[in-house]
Amino acid sequence: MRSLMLPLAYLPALATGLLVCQHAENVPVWDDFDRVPLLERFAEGELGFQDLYAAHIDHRIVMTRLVILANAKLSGGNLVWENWVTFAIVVGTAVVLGALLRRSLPDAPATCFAAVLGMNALVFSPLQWENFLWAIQTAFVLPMACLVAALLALELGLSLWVRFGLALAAAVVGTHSFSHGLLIWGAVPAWVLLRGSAPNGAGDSRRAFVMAWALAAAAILLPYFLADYRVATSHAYGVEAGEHTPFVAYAAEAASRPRLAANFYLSMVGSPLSRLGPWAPRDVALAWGLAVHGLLAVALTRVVLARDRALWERSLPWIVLAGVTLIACGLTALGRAVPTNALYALAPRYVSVSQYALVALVALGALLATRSPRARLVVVAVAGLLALPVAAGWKAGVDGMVGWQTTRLQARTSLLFIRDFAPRYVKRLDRDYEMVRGPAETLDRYGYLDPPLARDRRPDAFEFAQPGVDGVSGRIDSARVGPGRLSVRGHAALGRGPGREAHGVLLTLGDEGARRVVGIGEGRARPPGRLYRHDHLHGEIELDPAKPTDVWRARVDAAQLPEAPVVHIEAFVVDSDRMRLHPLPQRLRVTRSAGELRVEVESSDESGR
Amino acid sequence: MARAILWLLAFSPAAAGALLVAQHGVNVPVAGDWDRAGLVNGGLDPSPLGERIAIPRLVALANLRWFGNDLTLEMGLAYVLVLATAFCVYGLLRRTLAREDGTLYGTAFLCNLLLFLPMQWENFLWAERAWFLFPSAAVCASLLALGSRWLVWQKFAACALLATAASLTAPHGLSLWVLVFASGALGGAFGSGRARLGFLAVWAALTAAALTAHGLGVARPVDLSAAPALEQPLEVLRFSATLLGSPFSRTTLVPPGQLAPLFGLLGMALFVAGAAYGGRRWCDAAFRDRRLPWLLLGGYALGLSVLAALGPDAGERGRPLLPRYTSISLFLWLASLPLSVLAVLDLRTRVPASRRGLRALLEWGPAFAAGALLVSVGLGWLVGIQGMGEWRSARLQARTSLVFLERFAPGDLRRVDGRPGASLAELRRAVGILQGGGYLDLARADGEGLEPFALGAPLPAEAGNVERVRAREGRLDLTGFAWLPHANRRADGVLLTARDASGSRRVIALAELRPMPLPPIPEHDHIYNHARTPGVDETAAWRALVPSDRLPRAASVQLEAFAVDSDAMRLHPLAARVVVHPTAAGLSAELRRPENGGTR
Repeated sequence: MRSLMLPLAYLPALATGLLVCQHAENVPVWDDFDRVPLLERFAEGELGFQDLYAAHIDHRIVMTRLVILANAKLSGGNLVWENWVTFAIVVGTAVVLGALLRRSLPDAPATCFAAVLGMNALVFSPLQWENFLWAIQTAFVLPMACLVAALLALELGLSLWVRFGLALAAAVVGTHSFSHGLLIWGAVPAWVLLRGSAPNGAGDSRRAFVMAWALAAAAILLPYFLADYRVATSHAYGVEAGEHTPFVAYAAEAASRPRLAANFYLSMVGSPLSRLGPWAPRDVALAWGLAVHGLLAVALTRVVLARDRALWERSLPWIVLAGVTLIACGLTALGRAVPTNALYALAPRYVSVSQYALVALVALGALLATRSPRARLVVVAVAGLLALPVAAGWKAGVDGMVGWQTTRLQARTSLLFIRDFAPRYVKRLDRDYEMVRGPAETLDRYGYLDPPLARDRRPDAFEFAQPGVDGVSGRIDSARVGPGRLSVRGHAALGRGPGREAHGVLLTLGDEGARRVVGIGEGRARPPGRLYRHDHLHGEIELDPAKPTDVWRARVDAAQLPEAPVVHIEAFVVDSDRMRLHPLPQRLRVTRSAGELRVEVESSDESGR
Repeated sequence: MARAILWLLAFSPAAAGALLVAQHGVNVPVAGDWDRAGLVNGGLDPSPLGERIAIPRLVALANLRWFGNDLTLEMGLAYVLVLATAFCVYGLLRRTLAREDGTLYGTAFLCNLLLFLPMQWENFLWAERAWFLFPSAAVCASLLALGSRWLVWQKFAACALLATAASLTAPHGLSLWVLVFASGALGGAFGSGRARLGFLAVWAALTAAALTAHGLGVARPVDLSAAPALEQPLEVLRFSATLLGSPFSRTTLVPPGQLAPLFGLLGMALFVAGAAYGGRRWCDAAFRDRRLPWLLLGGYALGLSVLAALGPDAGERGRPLLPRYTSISLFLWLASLPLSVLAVLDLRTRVPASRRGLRALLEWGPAFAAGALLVSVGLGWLVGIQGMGEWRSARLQARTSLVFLERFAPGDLRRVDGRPGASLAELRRAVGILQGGGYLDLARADGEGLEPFALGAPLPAEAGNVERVRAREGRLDLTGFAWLPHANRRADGVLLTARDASGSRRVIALAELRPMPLPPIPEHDHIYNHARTPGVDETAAWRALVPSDRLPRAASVQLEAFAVDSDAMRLHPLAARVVVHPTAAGLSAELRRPENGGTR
């Protein structure tokens, strides 16, 4: 491939890199809090192998835990670093795919360039925002990287046992990242057996390779499944810690409900293409899944019927890649269809697996395109047909990244004051308050939170901005006294349009230097474009376009208020990206008389501020 | 054999279009269809819009006289007009591309995908609008005739006949007079110079006569000088671009009003680029002849979009997105296709072999673009099919309202009548006239029983049910949903019945469905239906308000609900029942579902 063309084929990587740079936030969410016991034991010098090897849901995420520990050591636990590790893994995957394709298409540089560009458009699609922006998801992208690395290793012109070692290393790493890495153990012997001609030498070498591989697999997989293969997290689809993993718990039932499992499976396969058109992805993903199968079947049939050994050998890595992808989707369906539903198949993170069916299709298409001008035309037309759905996925992905970032910044406000205030929208952080508070305090104790948790309800992490700057707007609309509390409601936004929702509102007592937060107003978010319940943003998302998202509600515990006859509570719009507080033009005047509280909203100007 | 197969594949959209029209066409009048009551009475009131629509009226009279006003026949006629257009376009393509290979059949396939686009459902499924399609057919036929080897007088006769007919069909048929003149003036293969001059002179005279006759006595002649849009050229551009981009504007989640202008500008740019290609070679008659029909077709679409922008209704935001205008705007895209193909084929012969990148682009680019266009048009087909489904549902719901028109006033008169400012009295009069003459395919409900419906199987609870009943202010407020699983559509209404003293069922209310249209049909897509504001995902919701004086006088009244299938004329019982107890304080009502011990 000409040197000038190569960077162009990786433009999607640059675009996604910029998106990650723009939207990644150092705020833990859900499974990120599972790192707390690990870090605690690491800090106390009590870390053991079991801490690394314990099952996280269905997966032995040893590699991810090592990344977590390395990150804690090197950056103080900045989660954005792990986002970049994920991105780097995807870049590595793309580079390996490009190298693999160059070996498949040594004599067609232009076709190779176009195919690499197409693959990168898939591999870097921001539709996988859950994986790009969620620190724990380092685990999710590593197995496919290891699979393609193993396939490349097998294709290299090295000695047999060197290739064995490389493939084995990839399989071990992939296995101990996420459970679909287990499929590498089947993919490698499949490649060896299907290739026909021995990888290097006579048929005895092939047998020896496969037998050695089987022994290695047994050595890895037996302890994998037998050594305390029970859930060690509370984020396990309804399965409690210490119980069987969800796959073990639900696979049999999923198999007995073939329609549910098939719906999940096909929707997952079609998910990368399902954002095109005015319909909800759930309505079209299944059809796209069938289309992907149809195209793969046609491509495979053409390869087989060509009866061309060279074509077969060049196609084999891609056939194996497609096969592993489809099996991974099938196993996901068995393990997740029952505890969730078919809609869950459209979760953005699953795109990072199912898209490899399309990646394989791109490569097979490129191979077939070199056979004849007519074949080339057909392949190019199909590429044009698929280009629009992929582009639509990019658009949805960018929208999802904006939504993810907004909800993380809203969560940050709640997290800062987690010691003293139970968030109304706690699910931005984790399933319930207790699952957040303790781990957050532990992270803070070891200095792994930036900014650290607020002390004594003081907003010291923020700087105070002047009123009315930066397009920030808001007001207190109403306040009333309830049993033991004040209920306050208002509007606030950091600007106009999606992604500009306020990150919260702080209600404070006291003047500068002695200010204390007495209540936190939380609002919802609405990402740009159209996203759905299966688009995991882990936030409070307002899906109804008719409803506003600048409304916030807060409660102030009356017990927090001093006994003075008159107390003023000020309100500030939170920008937890720039760590600024923007004062609202109103404040609350709370008067106490004969033991009863009264509250009214007054203009801040009346105070002479 | 291979060519026959390719030809069949190229015309497969026509077969699909036929199936869709046959499946979705319903013989229920809407809007202007009701004006036929005036025809029955012998009145030929001038069109309120100043249009000369003699031919559609003659066809309507013929339909009334010989076919009992079966509106589906005129829907079939609309399809035939599009089919004729497709054949003419195919003929023009053959002449233009001068080859019979995959390029011809592939281009023909894409053209037919556009021509039979179901997003034109207003024109396919609305008898009054069927004639909207005639002028386009006439334009294509004229261009085919003008480029043929016929004698000049034969071309003249054919075009004159077509132009006259088009002028008497729809206002945009007048454009044929201009297009024929332009084709005669610019076309290369027209015989001698004298023949051409003679043709043009006589044609000009005929045009003047036709336009003068057309303008005489028109109630509201077009007055361009009064068009406010003239003072706002950007608005004209926006309207035109929106109209031209409409066929592709429903293919994403971006509101069509925002997306259509962008697509329209893209279409304009593509057309202009295709038209301008090889500008210096326009003196070459053969070069010009191959492109001229498409330039004129594209100009036809462009010109009409501008005229629509200058019209009195241009201020309405959703107007350029009306489905019927798709039948105009698609010609811009259709014309751009062969122009682009010609440009690519020509470039391939001119680009030197050393420029490998450009040659690769010329080789692959069209195939890639064809794939992308295929998926875009395919999305338009899916949207259009849904629109057809919504149209059919609305007409069947209207039929239910018509059955009971004398007893229950339709909650949504627009769905049943559709004419601006029409009243219930006018509708009843029109229904009476048409039915009296046997021109309305409608079995009316004379008594209070369930006739003319037959009783069908009960609906499962998840398909149809009464969800809630409230008694307040002297009436019952019932809500529920009703879906016909066997027909895969929402019910065409819900009847509420009570048994009288003799035990017979008596209809006491007709609940209309007030559904959320299946996405992505927004409000401006003329379904002549009633759409609730978005936010609630209900596609088969109904509501009934029953005054207490409609209930039989008894200590306890049991109401049953039936989902109406007015296509098969059947009633399907809903799962739940309502028991009403009149009390001194008013009404109390109780909902009984089968799982609560109900008796179904």
